[in-house]
Amino acid sequence: MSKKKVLFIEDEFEIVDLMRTRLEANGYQMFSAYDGEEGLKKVEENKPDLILLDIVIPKINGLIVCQRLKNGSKTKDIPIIVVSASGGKDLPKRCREAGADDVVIKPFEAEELLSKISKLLEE
Amino acid sequence: MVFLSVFTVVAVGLGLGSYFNTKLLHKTIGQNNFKIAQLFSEAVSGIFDERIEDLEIYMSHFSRKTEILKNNAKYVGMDEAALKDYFSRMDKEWVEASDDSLLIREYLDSPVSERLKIIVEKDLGLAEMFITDRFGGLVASSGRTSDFYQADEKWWEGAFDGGKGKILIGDIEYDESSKTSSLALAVPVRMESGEVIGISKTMLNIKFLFRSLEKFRVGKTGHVVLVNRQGYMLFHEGLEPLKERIVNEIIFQKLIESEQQWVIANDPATHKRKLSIAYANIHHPLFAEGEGDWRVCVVQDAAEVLVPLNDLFSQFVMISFILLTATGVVAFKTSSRFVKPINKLYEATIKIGEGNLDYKAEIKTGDELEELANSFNKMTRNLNQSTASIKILNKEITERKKAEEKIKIAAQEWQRTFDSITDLVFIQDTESTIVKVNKAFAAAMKAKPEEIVGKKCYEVVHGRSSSWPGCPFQAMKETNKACSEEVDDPHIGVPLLITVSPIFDEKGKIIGAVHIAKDITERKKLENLKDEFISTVSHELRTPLSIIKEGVSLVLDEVPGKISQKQKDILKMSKENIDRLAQIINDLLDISKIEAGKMELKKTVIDMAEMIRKLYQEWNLGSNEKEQSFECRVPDSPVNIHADPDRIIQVLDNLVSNAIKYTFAKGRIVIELINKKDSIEISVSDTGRGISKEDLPRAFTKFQQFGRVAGAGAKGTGLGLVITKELVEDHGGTIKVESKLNKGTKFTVILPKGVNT
Repeated sequence: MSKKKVLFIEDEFEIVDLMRTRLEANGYQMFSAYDGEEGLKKVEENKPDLILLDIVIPKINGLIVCQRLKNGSKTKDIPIIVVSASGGKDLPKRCREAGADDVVIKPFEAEELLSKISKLLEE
Repeated sequence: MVFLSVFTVVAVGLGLGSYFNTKLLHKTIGQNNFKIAQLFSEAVSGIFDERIEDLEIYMSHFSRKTEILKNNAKYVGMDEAALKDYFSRMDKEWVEASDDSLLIREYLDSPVSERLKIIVEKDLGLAEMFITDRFGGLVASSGRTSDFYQADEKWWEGAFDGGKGKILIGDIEYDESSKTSSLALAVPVRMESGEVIGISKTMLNIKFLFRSLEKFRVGKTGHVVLVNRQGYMLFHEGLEPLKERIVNEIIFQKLIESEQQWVIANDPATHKRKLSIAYANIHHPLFAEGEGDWRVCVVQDAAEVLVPLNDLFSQFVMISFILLTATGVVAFKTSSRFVKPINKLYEATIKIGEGNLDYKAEIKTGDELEELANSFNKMTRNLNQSTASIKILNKEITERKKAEEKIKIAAQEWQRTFDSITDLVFIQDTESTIVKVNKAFAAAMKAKPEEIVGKKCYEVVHGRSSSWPGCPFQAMKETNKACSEEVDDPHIGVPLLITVSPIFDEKGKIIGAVHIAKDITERKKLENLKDEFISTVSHELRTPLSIIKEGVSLVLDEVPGKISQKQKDILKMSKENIDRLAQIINDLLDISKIEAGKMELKKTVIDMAEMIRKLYQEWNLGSNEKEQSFECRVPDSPVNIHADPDRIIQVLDNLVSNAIKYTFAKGRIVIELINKKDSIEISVSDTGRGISKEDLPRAFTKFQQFGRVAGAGAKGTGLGLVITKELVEDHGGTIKVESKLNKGTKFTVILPKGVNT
């Protein structure tokens, strides 16, 4: 069985590096995009099995990226987990409205994120 | 012969002198009495002006106007037939209803009727007062009126004047049973625009009104009488009005047609004495075409006027007879001795007739003639005093007018001050009707003040047909205190801080409210900036924190390679403090929201029993780690309350995590839910280290942490309990704490259910 591909759209490269280490140690393959535009392009080029998505990213806001992917016929099945540092109480609601499958608030617990990823990939 | 001729000359001379002097004296008295009558007619006019002005002021009060407008609104959509039908039905019910029936009490016990009652009670000049709407239906009354519908009365039609409105002074009416006469004064009630919205009728108590006239005396017998055009007495002490004539018709006719405006005539009552009657019109504009048409008469016993002359004459006859019988020569001398002083008296009467009331007849003969002159001077003095007292009366009236002018100016000044306020201000009655607005408010509503006054405030401000639920007026009514609310109604367009303050009457009852709305756009902008700043800062803090945490976690989880136990312990401690820092950021965000009043509760019905049971599973895992026993006492049946579930979870989570944090290993924690009638009680108790007596009062204060011990664990943010308390209070609940050092702590939260159970 080939490794599951996870795309992390995030502009903070340190956390991207750390997550790559974490995900690869847990048997995933991870690739990343720096901003919203690049994210959408990468999804088209190489369809991932799951997307981790930050909201505050350059060019196109994460929630809009989420909306576009969920509205695209080819991309709407890809599970999306929003990983955000914006801690507002209405964040989960806004993410749900944009079509995201789950939300994780930074700083997150790696265990929690991993369990959410595996749960979504099983479905 | 000489004797006889001298006697004849003297007798004829003195006789002629006496005749002319009598005539002159009559004229003097008559003219002075006429002047008095004229002064009185001005006084009567003044009394009316004053009364009319008083009534206009009573009726201009907003509570009365509002009540009338409310009544007028009842007729909207009724055609003529429907109106007729309504009034005949009301009239019938009104007449037949008993005094304590619902209908009568509804009208007579209304706040406006109560107010009219007080006005009538306080002012002895008033006998009765009532108000009708613009269709003649009763609005309020100081006492029970005979009819409900008044528009069929002549006075009403006159005062309504086809909608133009006219002040009307009615006839004097005499009530046999109470032996009082009264006078109707009908005054239209107008909006500030001049539109007539109703008619008020007031019965004035004649006796009281003209009491100053009644006490007035000219000399011994001179008094003031009001008569109508036909000469019937309208007002005379002890007499029924309109029954008696002042003098017979012919003389009266002669009196009002003559230019001298005074007359000597027989008393119609006794026919024995003669009366001196002076007469003056009352020049009141309202009398011109109205029914009033009164005259003021000053009536004096003619005998009193003639007393000095009669005395003089009889004294003279006696003296001259004695003198004449004694000597003829002396008689001539004597006659010149008499004629000189009489000439002086004659001069005096002319002077006085010309209005020189200070003029004195100087006669120093040392005999009866001097006495006569003295009594004449005394009479002049009396006349002078009488005239002076009328002048004082008129002066008082002028002063009152001046005072009223001052009140008017004060009212204008008040309105100008009111208009200079830049906040939007309006005054409403208890039924949400706008009664007064300032310029800023009218401008904000894009309307003229008169277009808004009389309308409901929710119509004007919020564009609604019923009261606006966000209005602090209701809260004000319940608390009897000023209440404020921040309002951001899209209909208004700008955010406002609205403060509603009650207006009380003398008895402390709320009769209206002042609304002050402040534009808080600028403040809101700053608040939004602050919120934005806080959320940006928290975002910027969380991002590096997440990198630190994940880095530490990776090493701790030995992903890059094995580490020693010592290294693990250090990294574990670091990670715990990263979480603590993250929690502080969350708490700070919550606090800033609570303090800005931005914590919006999203209430739904939740089953507390079910919620606690679910949360218990999670909590139990945490307490198991510390080998604590954790008991959950919750009823089996649902316990529904209306609350924001996220916030309630936050409250319980905080209390329980505190309990777990501050309770030693093998300690005991209990969470209990008690279902009461209108509230629920949740308590979290532990056998932890507790809080000392001294520290307990500060338990809910920011950044307070008690009994910190050295070493790892058991550290909080110092904000948890502050947030917990605020959240509980936002739900209308209370929180209390009991604690004993080293024994344990118990927090009890009481929340209102807010749902029908």
